[in-house]
Amino acid sequence: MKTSRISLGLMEQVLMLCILAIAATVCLRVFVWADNKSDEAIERNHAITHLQSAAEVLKACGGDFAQAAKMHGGEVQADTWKLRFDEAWQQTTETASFTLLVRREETQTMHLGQARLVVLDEAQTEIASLTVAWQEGEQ
Amino acid sequence: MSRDRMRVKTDGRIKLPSMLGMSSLLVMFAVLCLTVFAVLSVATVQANTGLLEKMNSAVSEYYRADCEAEQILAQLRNNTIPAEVEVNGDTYSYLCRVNETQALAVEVEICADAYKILRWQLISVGEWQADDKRPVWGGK
Repeated sequence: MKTSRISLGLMEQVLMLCILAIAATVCLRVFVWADNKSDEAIERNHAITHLQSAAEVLKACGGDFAQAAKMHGGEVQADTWKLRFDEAWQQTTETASFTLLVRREETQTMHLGQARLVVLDEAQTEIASLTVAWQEGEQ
Repeated sequence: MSRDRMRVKTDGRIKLPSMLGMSSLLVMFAVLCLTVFAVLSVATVQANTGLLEKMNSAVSEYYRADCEAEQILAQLRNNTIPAEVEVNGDTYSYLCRVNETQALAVEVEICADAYKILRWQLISVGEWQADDKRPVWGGK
């Protein structure tokens, strides 16, 4: 009688340990997923904010990439304005975690300038993008 | 019979009730807590993600309307008047829809090759219905 009670107790302990292990594994995966999703949303929000800043500077400079780079930072190579950001979304000249690229686009309409702004992560995956247009020529 | 089990045995030792099942209760409680926290984190993340996506799409929609407005202005400067533009002498006005409730109202004055932006404003175009479910103090 005593032996069967002891073995029953042991079986219960083992079963409960298994249940706890399964529940902990599943819940831990959920926590990690939630954390990753939250990080992705924050990254995208930062990207959109910086895209907006760059777009407004470009419009204010009338599409002049060199002047925009002088005002807002970054470097201009051919028809591309590039800004580099570190993990804390501060502008950097070293290895970047995020890159904001501004590329001029051809338009069919005269007096209209247009560019596409894209934010890429380290793996060169697009996080967010915007298209901005401005008037060219004298106002 | 169960009351007898609680009583002191003939040799003086007190027999405690069986502890079988206590660990099950403890583990069930722990699993319940873990599940509740997991559900709360998922709900919080989804709410935050939804809010951030709405903010981001608002920005994207605004710039799409802004591009459309710039294109119409460029067409006006090229002496082409699109159908949606209202003409009042040298002043041209038009609306570029941002979303269901907002639009970009533009008014420009074009004289020869020069142009002057008189208005470039985000306005509300949706219907607003007052919520009068609760009485609001009128100040008197």
